Amino acid sequence: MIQTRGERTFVIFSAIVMILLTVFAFLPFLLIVIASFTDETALIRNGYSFFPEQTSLDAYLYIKASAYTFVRAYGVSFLVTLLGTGFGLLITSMLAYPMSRTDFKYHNTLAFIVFFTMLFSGGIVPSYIMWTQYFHIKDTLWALIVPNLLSNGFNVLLVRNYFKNNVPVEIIEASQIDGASELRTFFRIMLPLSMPVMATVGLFMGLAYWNDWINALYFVSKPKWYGIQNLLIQLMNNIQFLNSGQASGVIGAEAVKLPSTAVRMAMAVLGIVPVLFVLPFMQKYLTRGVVIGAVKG
Amino acid sequence: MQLETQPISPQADSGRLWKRFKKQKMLHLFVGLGMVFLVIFSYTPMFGILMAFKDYSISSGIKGIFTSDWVGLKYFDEFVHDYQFGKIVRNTLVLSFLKVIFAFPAPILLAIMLNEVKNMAFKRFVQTVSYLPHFISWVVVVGVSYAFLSADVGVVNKALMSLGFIREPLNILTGPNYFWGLAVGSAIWKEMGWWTIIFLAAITGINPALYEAAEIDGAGRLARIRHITLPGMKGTIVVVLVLTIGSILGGGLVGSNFEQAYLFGNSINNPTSEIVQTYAFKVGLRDGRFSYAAAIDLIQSVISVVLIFSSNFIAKRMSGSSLF
Repeated sequence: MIQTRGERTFVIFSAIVMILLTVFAFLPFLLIVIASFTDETALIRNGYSFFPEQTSLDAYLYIKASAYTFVRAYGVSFLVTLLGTGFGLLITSMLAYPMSRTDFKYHNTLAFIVFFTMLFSGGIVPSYIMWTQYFHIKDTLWALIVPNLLSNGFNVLLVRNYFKNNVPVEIIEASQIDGASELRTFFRIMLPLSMPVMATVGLFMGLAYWNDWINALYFVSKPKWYGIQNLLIQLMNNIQFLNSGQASGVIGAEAVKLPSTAVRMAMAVLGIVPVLFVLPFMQKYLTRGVVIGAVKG
Repeated sequence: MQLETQPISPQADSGRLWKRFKKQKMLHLFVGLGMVFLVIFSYTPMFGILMAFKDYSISSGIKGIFTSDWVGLKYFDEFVHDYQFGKIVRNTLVLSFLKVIFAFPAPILLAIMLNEVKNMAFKRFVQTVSYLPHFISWVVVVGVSYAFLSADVGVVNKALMSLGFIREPLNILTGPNYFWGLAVGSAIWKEMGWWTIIFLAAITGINPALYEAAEIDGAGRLARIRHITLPGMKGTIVVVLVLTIGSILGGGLVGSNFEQAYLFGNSINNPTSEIVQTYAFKVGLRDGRFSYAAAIDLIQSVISVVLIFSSNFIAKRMSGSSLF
């Protein structure tokens, strides 16, 4: 193919831009990993660096010494993510299923009712009062799970679109002619045929739960219900909390020198690792789920 | 067993309606369950908006929302005359518009560039790495930014100083002059690659015959981008733009303003980082002035609804494609 000068400039320019973007997207991940293994005194003397003078495991030893706090926060985060994603997926798909059935009388009304919640909300104050004054979820595990169960109408519409456009009506009709109940059709036909969108929406929800810190900000005042994100915030605001009586099991930590700057990075690494671990398994579904659900709608 | 093959019309007689209802009772149960959640989660709090017009105090519990005294627009008036009003409104608007101007076009450009890449391995690699930051939380982003941008130990300041560009380290994380740039820049860093997926998908949907025909007609690469790729993406661009403008005050599609302003915010950069949502949170949930905070929140919600409907209307008029 013959290229004009303008075209060649474009190709070279865009290649440089893309390489730079990739480097910029990736460098921070590299730096925090390196920083978490950097010796604290070297950090304070020279600042963060990609080529540390002296490496050390102090940050991770420190986390190990105050393991109770970290393991507990990890446990809270995992539990919240698991329960929230499980229930959230169930409710979302159950609501999306009738909306996808054109022979269901109210499918369009229902879609509007869901869509409206994406446009307008009561705001944080009324929700806060309802959750704390009526449901009394303050300082419970529920505070981290329940308010986000169906908070995103977008997910419902995504699943609806996938059901509607990618599972042929004939299959549903055939299963019902064969005598399958609605419940059976849903669980045995619809859901297995919709793996890409279920994986995608599941990933969205799981991420939202894993990365959430706002519910704890609103509803939790006791550090014992802090997940990994809120622990990280607390650590960033005040590294000293670990030495206070709030966190039990840190007596051993006093023996280890407090590597505060490196510990932040080690915590950030620990917050990212589970996400990076799950991502490759979800990736093959990701593009298909998003694209088919969102664009065709 | 009788099969229902005929299409069901709305004017079906009551006997058939009942039969259909019985046949679809499971569907109704699904809907009922979902509706219970929707009503509790989203619609009930909407009634709580009443408290913006009342003198609500938390000690009166839930029913206080209905029994407390009406005060009309008192709290709206108070907000307008709040000494921080000008600052908060300016910060919210500036931050939101900067994000639309800079963060919205970025993934479109990246998608166009990626589409021109012929080497599949390179394309996949760039795409995967660039959407990686989408998956980490703002908390971690703020933690990471400390390693890069902090004045005393940050990599960027160290590099700039050793290269001789600056003499004094820049207080990027705390200086009020840097907050908007920091927020917009980190939003682009975190979300650009993610939204590229959607735009790239839109490009994939374009009929390849169009490109072949254009090539035969002698159209170069840039001409093809301008006359085929961009028009082909138009529908998706419009829909995403309407969504962005509708949620602009909350931060659009590139990361919530609240999370950024709350986590990056501190007492030094407060003059540029305090926005409507952080202020509503502080006066409401922290200081316990619920009616006042509800009023502040309501103003933002109403403006957002007006924005989404008007942008949708304009989009429909101008381009024929729209969100709803």
